[in-house]
Amino acid sequence: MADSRPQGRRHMTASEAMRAARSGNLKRVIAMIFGDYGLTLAAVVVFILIAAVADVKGTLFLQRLIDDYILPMTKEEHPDFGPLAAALRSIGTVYLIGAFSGFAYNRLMVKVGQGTMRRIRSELFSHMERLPIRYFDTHSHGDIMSIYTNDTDTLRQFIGQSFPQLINSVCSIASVFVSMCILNLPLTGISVIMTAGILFASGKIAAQSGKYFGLQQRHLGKVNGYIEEMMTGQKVIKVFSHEEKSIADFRAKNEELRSASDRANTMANILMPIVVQLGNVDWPRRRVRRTASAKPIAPAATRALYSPRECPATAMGLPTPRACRAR
Amino acid sequence: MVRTLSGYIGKYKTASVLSVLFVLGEAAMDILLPFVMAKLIDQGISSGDLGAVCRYGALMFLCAVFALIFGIGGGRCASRASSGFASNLRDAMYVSIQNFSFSNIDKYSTAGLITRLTTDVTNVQNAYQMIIRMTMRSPAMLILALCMTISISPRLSLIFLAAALFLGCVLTYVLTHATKAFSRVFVKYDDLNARVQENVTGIRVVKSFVREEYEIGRFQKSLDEIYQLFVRAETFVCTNFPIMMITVYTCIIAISWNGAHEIVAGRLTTGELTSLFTYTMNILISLMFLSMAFVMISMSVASGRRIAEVLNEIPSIRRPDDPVFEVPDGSVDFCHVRFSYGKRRTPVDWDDPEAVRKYHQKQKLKEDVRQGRISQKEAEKLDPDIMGTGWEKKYVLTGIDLHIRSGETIGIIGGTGSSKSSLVSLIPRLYDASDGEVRVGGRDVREYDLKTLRDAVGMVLQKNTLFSGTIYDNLRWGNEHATAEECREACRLACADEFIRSFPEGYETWLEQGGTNVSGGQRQRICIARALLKKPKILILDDSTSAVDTATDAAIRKAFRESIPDTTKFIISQRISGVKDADRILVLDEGRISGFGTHEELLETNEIYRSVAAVQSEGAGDFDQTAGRRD
Repeated sequence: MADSRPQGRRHMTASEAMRAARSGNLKRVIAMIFGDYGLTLAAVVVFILIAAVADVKGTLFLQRLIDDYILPMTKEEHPDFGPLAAALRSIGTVYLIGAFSGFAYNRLMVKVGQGTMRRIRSELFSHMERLPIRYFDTHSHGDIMSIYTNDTDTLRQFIGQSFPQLINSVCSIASVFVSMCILNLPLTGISVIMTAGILFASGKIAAQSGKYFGLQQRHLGKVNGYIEEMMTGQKVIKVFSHEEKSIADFRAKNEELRSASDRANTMANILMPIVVQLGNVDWPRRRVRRTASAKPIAPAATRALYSPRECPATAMGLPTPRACRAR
Repeated sequence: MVRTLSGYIGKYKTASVLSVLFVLGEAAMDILLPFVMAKLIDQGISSGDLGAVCRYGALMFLCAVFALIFGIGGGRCASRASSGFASNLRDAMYVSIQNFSFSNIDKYSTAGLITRLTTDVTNVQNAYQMIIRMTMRSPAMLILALCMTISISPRLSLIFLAAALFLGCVLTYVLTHATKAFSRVFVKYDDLNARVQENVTGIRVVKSFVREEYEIGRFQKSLDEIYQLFVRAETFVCTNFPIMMITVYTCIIAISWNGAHEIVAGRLTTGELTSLFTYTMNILISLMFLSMAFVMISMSVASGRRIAEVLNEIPSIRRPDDPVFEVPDGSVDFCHVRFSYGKRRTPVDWDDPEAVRKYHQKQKLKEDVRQGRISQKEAEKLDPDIMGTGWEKKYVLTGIDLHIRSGETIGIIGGTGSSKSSLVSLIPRLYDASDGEVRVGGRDVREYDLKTLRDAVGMVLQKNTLFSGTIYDNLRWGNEHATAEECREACRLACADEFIRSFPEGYETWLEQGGTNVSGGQRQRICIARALLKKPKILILDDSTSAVDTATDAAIRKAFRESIPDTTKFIISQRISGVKDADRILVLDEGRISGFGTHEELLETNEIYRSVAAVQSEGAGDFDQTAGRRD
């Protein structure tokens, strides 16, 4: 062991190195998902498409409900509710299909997400077992542990939530866009511009948020490492009456973590209100020239579809997904 | 627990309250928006009144702007409050742990303390943020939206009520089950992390026994288990989705149908119908969130409880009210000391089916006695210890009466479990004696200021630890203001100077956590030097040269004799050669004094000492091996 000479000050912590390797490797993770679960993902996309079409159909129906069914009836002496009943029946079927597809792709994504996590953890561990001992000497154990706990959890969030959400959003946007084009071309133009605005704003915040989340994870790793070291040496601390010093050092690190966590959460928290309210500002103007229909339900429904679903997984004591917390 | 924890919100109370206010404001705006929109449609668009359209349009815009401001404000405050609260908790726990005595520390595992300081705090932080945002917002939204629907159409709002009740019940049912499934996952998760930690810490062992493949296989197995459990738990959560959607859609269809009738009958406007659709969403989403917030919070209760446990732990050793700040000399007296680590219960080995079966049997029997199904006497026939608590107090030291003069060198020898370490740990008051008195410098150790006492007693623990930092950093634990020359002097005494200087960076060499990048013997010598820098009146070496070769060991002892003659020295050793030139040698046997005298005296009078000496002079190894033969 004496031959493994001290290496001098370390320049990079364990998780920094691994994170650096990974941040460039988000692509690799995605490639891994596609490689392992290509067919499943194809099925997911199909189900998402069905769900999106059902959603759009449902939305369009609500729009027609008032104009095509209710308003004409108000003008008749003896209104016939027959056509309305038939329409409600058919739209009910569409809703059912939509709900089922929603369940199906969520369930499939669970498999994809957990399967990928299993593979990543397994590869991480196998890789770690093969690392030279020097790696373990030069990295704090708490910091290495942090990769398994904090970092893998973050990655799990990405695979389990952000990734399906991404597919979902792309499908929704595409189908909504098409149906909007069919409805009214000039208004679609305005919407596109407004949406671009929202995307720009949320993109800015998301980038900031991402940066701060990275910072938070790094500080979390540091605090983890420090705590691990001090708890292990707690008895030595007592023997040398080193408590005050150890508290002072901890306070500095804890404060860094607090401020990083504060900033990361702030960004995540304000992302949703901004997107929602920009949407609110956008639609009354759009609505004004359209008939008295129920289009506004669409953004609400979309939100309902996507955001609550995220929570349960996190609810169970795991780091909270940003969008969910923001709501 | 809530009271304990909420005390640590501290200066973040303002932010918490503000956050709640902002969230309520935002909810109010969100409710107002569809209401204004209904007006806009009915009074503006339907009647073609452009002025009304502009008025209500502007009002809506204003609402949206306020909602945005409230939303951002709420997000900012909630984040500040929750991360501040978390930071306070970590700080309080850390300080509390620093004030723990050894027996407090013994109660918790290191890994347990780490989890409490990290994961548990994160859980509570998330739950807290959830509380000040969700649990305020959702009921507010729910009530406001219900009020609005009732004001629009009392009859249609019955649909909401039915749907809300249904959804509430079903969601609670599903989520409770999901919670249970997830908590099973997390138990496995802890196991997995423990396995990783084991591998990280013990990587040398894994490597030297070429166990990598085996470990990977074991890890893979746990991963498979977690996968199965996780998929099951998340499937529960997935069923939420269709339930929620079908309820929403049923509501929409029911409202469409009944709404159509109401409109035709002239009791409802089309604008109102539109807002009703929006409120459907509001109400059902609020419900969804409420049930999930409920689950999330209930899941973090366990974390909160674990944190409160640390915060409420009372240090078993405290500084006296009127402490003495001066240790006059290095004399040590044990006056009729008896010592126990406290009541211990033999833990149940959960992996052993037989032990588990017995445990459950006993629990059942106890319950039967409580319920009066069986008399106590009969129960005792089946299990004599049935009414006992299973806790027993075992004394590891009894009848210790020793008087040691300042400057003496005392060797301590005895087999494993003979309580050598327990004995010396009473001197710097790492533990308090159960009975009798331990005196240092003629005074009861309990009268001293703790820091004063521990500065006067230099102790090199058996399980010693170095910390990440340079060798200088580590040495200065002994004396913060030690000069480079003083550090070197201490290292020379501990025979550490030579090898340290052979490092390319000498005393500036960076030691890794636990000092794992130097050899065991080198680590021990640095630890000795660190203790020497305190310039203690009493120096205790608890088997601190076990990894050092015999010649160096002798050199260290010689240096001690010559350079610090006034320091009282306690040397615990497994080897006769390590203690034989001490002024007096203490032979411990199962917590009792078996002999106390010089090497020569003991050879004549003490059976145990003689047999060990005989075997070791033949070149055999440690005390334990010979002691084993003795048994």
